[in-house]
Amino acid sequence: MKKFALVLFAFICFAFAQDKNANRIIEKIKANYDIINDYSVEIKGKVDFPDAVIPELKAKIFFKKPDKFKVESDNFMIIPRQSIKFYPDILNEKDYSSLILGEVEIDNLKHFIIKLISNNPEVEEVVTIWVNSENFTIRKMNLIGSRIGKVEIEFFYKFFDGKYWLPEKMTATFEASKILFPRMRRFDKNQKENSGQVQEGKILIQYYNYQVNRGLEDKIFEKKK
Amino acid sequence: MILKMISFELYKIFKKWRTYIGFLALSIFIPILIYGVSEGGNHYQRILDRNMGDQFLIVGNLVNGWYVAFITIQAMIIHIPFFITLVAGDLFAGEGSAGTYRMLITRPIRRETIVVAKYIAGFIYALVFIVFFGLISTFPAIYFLGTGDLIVPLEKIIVIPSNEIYWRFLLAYFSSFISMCLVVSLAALFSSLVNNAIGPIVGTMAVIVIFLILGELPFELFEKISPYLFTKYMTVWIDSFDYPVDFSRILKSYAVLIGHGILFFAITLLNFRKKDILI
Repeated sequence: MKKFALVLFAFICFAFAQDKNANRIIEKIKANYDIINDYSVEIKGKVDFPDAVIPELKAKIFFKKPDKFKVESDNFMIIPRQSIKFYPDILNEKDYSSLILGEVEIDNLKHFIIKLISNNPEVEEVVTIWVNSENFTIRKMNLIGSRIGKVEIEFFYKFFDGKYWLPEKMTATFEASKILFPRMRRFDKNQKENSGQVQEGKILIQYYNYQVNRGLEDKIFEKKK
Repeated sequence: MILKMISFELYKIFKKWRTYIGFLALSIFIPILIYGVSEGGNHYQRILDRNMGDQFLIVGNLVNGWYVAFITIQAMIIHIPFFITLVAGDLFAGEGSAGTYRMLITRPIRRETIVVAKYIAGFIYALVFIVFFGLISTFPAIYFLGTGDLIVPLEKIIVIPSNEIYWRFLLAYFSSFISMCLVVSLAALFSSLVNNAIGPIVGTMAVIVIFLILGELPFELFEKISPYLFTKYMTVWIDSFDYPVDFSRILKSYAVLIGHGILFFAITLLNFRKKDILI
């Protein structure tokens, strides 16, 4: 009985310590972005989508804390939301659980693998992040949900103005079959041959000309009527 | 002489009220469509947003004037051929029903000249109609809904950048004109066989609709005969929105359409040369 109580106590302590460690890492991730009040950046990129031809992405992104953003582009674009915030939305919530799953080496650097699960039963997305142990940036992000399927995002960072770790490149891989473009022709003779296959889509974005903490005005984010 | 004959034929075409049915229909339909799209909001964009989930953002004005122009150009498959047939089916049969065959053919004009003039007048009508169609389906839509990239949501989703849209639409309208010339040829052929325009109009549309259905049926037999049906090539305008544009395929379609047009013209000519106007 004593042994069992000891093991149980050790397990609870371990889980609690895990949670605490994960939270500490998350706090450090947030600290990276807390110093960024606003930014603007130009992006270029391309979308590889099976059965779709989408021209080169070209846009300017404006972001202001806490969640104002604007994407200025004359062209049609599909971009992941994380390409603007650089971290998963769940980190903005208060009620979520985090757990360190382990450590792994990426580009010869130790990375923590942290699982984030919302405590809200209506949110079914599970997020896993790979966090750089040196600068606490999110190197990789994995989002899984029944509606979106699996989305994997990778960031490649650069140190700007001697203060900010910001991505200079981002790639997102997703299940293209989960994204349904409405089509005009209902019947496609070739469709039957493709059904059942999981096709991957990929978005590549490169960031240029960051302007950080220049005091972006609110009117930039007002929608034109 | 031929120019005079063409101008006579054009006068006869544009004197009849039925010639303006197509123009009137488009003038009513397209403003309604533009109003519907602008009021109904970005239905397409909403569907896309919903399908993208919370993880992706859609940027850009997808439901714009070009998109409306692309929706309206779908009418080239059935509706526009009908309006063209209304006029082309009357080219020869109209003479029969009006009893003017004898007056026309007993004059010192070669029968071949009459056939050529009627065909050219029919082609000019098709050209005027396509130009009107192109203008009314693009300019008002762009004025009210703006411009942007064009999304072509067919079997393959193609997003055409705004700087490429102009020449693609011009090519599409030109391809439509070639297709409509074939419709004129077929309707004129049927028209030369009878003395009432209803038969050629219904006959031409029946051939087009049946061929289109046969060409789309997903059965092996119909898939085999599909390449031999001229209707398969009548949708050549769609190729203007492909990426990259397959010009060899477009030229092949033009060749098939023009070849059929020449065949229909030749049959009309042979038939008209032997036509008994004394009955």
